[in-house]
Amino acid sequence: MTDAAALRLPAASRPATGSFPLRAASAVLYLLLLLPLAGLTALAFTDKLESHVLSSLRLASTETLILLAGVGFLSAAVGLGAAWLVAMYRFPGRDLLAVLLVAPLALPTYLAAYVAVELTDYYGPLQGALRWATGYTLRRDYWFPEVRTLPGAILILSLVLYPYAYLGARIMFERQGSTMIQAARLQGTTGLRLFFRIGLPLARPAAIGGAVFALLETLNDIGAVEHLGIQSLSLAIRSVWLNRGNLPGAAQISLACLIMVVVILLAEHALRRQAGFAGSSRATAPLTPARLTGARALAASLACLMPVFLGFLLPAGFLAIEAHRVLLRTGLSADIGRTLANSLMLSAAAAALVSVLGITVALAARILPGRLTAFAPRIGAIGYAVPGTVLVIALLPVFTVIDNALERAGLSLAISGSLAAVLMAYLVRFSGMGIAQAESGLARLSRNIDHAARTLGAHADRLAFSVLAPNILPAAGLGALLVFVDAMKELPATLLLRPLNTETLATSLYAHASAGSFEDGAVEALLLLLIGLIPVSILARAR
Amino acid sequence: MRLTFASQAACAALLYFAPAASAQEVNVYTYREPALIKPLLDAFTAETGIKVSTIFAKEGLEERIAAEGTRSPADVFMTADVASLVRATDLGVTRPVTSETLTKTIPAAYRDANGNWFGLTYRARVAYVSKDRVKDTALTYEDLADPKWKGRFCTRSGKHVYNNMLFAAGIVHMGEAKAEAWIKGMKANLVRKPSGGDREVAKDIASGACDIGLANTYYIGHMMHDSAEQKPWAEAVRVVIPKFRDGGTHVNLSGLAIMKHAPHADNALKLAEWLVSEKAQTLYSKVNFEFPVRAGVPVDPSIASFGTLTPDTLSFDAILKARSTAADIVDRIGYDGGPGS
Repeated sequence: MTDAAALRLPAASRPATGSFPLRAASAVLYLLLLLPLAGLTALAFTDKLESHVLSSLRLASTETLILLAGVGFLSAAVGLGAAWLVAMYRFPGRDLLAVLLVAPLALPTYLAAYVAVELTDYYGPLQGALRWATGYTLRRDYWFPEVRTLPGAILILSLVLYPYAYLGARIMFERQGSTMIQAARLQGTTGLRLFFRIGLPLARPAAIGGAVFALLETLNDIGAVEHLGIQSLSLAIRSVWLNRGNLPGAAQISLACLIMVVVILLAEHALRRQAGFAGSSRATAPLTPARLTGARALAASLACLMPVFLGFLLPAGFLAIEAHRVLLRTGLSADIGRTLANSLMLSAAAAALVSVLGITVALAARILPGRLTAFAPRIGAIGYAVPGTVLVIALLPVFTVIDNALERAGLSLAISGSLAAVLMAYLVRFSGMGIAQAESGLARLSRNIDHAARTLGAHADRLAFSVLAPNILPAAGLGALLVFVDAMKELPATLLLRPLNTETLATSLYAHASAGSFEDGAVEALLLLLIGLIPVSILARAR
Repeated sequence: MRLTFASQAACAALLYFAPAASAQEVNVYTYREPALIKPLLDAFTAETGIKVSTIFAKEGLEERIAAEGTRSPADVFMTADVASLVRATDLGVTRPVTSETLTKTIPAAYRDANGNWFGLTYRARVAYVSKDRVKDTALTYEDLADPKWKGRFCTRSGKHVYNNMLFAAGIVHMGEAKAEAWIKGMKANLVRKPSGGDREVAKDIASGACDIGLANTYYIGHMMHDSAEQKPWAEAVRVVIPKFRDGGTHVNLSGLAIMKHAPHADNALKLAEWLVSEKAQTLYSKVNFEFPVRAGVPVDPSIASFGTLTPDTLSFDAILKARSTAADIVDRIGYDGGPGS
């Protein structure tokens, strides 16, 4: 029986009952995501649509759309290109570059923007060298590219967000596409022809999937766009909320953001469907990379080194120098150990919770009948789609409801003002990532497995947890690592929800940055980067 | 099974971070950066034995306090601008306080008539100009729209609260139509897209990218004294204190409010009263380079050297009401689009 035939099995032959954990997971996900969404919608409807909301939306939409298009295209192009070179060829430094190409993921977008401005502005080393070489003194005497512009922002954001596309595309080339690529090679197709004929169509779903996460991160960013002077939707939301005192208006723009994201996701879904042949589950021979020599080898090395250098090595080097300065001047902050522990604990807990939820929701969607469970994975992206601070504001009443319930139950516990609140926000924010990874793991398992297991009498739970779950653990593990890295970088929810006297690396860095000199937070920034490297290097080795 | 584990972990986290109950403490939710208020709070603890716990954020704390309701641990809310104090009052999370110390020390214009909030320091929005390339020693805010500054003027985003409040003050002074022409004139003078913060204005002046810009007073003190890297930026800048043609210089407050459900209201009041003491006000002046609200406490010499400050007498209420219109104008004329947009 083919996969397609399995899909058409009558619903009656699916297990119709049982499985409390699976149902519970779907229910939890719906509650988690729909409650803040309901809060947001309710907030949006507490006031009429003011004309300034529409004009803010219109004004910010232009630059936001250009930014999104630019980041989507550039990050997909860089990620895809690098993945192709690494998967197909051997060249000097390839193994190390294959790992380091993921490293920029550890750099938060706001930090990337600060460092880029620092390196490229008048007092930075580049212009300094130029003035030294030319004898010019004033900024207006010579031309130099300015990163505080829309193209600058596109470049900076793409350089730290392309690894999503890189990871997806590489796995696709090396695992699913190898047979096809080998066959094409045997027929004599090579080089660019091979890339455009086979590679590009093969990796398109993965690249698009990766670009979507890059876009969601871009839409959500506020620190980088503010520093770079981009008129983004996130800044428009803040202005409507605070300058005009119109929180409902902010919620209305957030809903517009959400609709934009739904459109992006629907487009992704449609594009993925077209590329239906990529889902082969057959065991494939590993791809044997061709050895490059001479100028071509050098070109491949440089092409892969470039994004690594700009997106990671250069910022890391800069931060290392600044961190050294801070250490010489003030020594290591006494709280750094606790700050680090908080970051690690929160990120690890978020990764674990998101994975468990992601696996169970994806399993429920596959195994259980019913549209609600089947649709559940699709709503995971809501958390990514709503700008951070607005999401948190929408979550606040949810915490109050929970706390009131806890109080009525006679428990002297409260979610508000605890790390549990931060974790819950992370769950809302990142569950999409956990589900996406678990789903991609499941997609590789033939439906025949389900059918066989059920024919042998396995009930839903057994099928889910004993048969399918162990097989998707590697994929879910990737999701966990991505969530870990994202949670380490997360700012709006951590900042607004954390308990008294509790700092993470990101909030501590932000405190320095908002006091006007982010370099004072270089130690925290460097730690953030170095710890991010651990999951990143595991991610890069994933097969 | 998994869910049980999750809830256990959540409970453990809750218990671990639940603040130990103690009478000698006060909890501060703050928009002021930790580095700025830590010296003050440490001195308060040293003097009174009252331990201070803090949460620093940049926005949304009023909403958090409101949502926490009676469970809120927040005693004191400290802000870097008057707008947040009024927002908190409007949201109903503050409590009116009667304290002779506070009302006697703080001028009436710098506190809420009902005692819901109190200003602790003020800062002025002034012009940073190039020492080398600008000779003007007296300017009005209106002068900043003069075409002679074309291609020489720089600011942070017109949406930022500091500019938003200044533009709002302009609207109150000039009326909407003239204010729009004024802001449009400034936009036409911009040399770059508004970006970065106030320190970038000094930086861009030092680099020769622009000659004149808008910024708050205290940044000069911080750049001079806190950072070897930024010192040259401050040194390239001369501060001119502008006035509105028919008024004074635009100032904004930093201040605090005591929370309606403050669990340690007594300590909160002690902190508030201590912060206007001569010692604390001197620290504010020395560490933060702000103007103390307490009469007789001098501002730091690096700030006093700018010349005499005559604060505008507009009520903050009037300015706050004009904020939305100021935001409208900034959107309408595309201030943040920068030159040529």
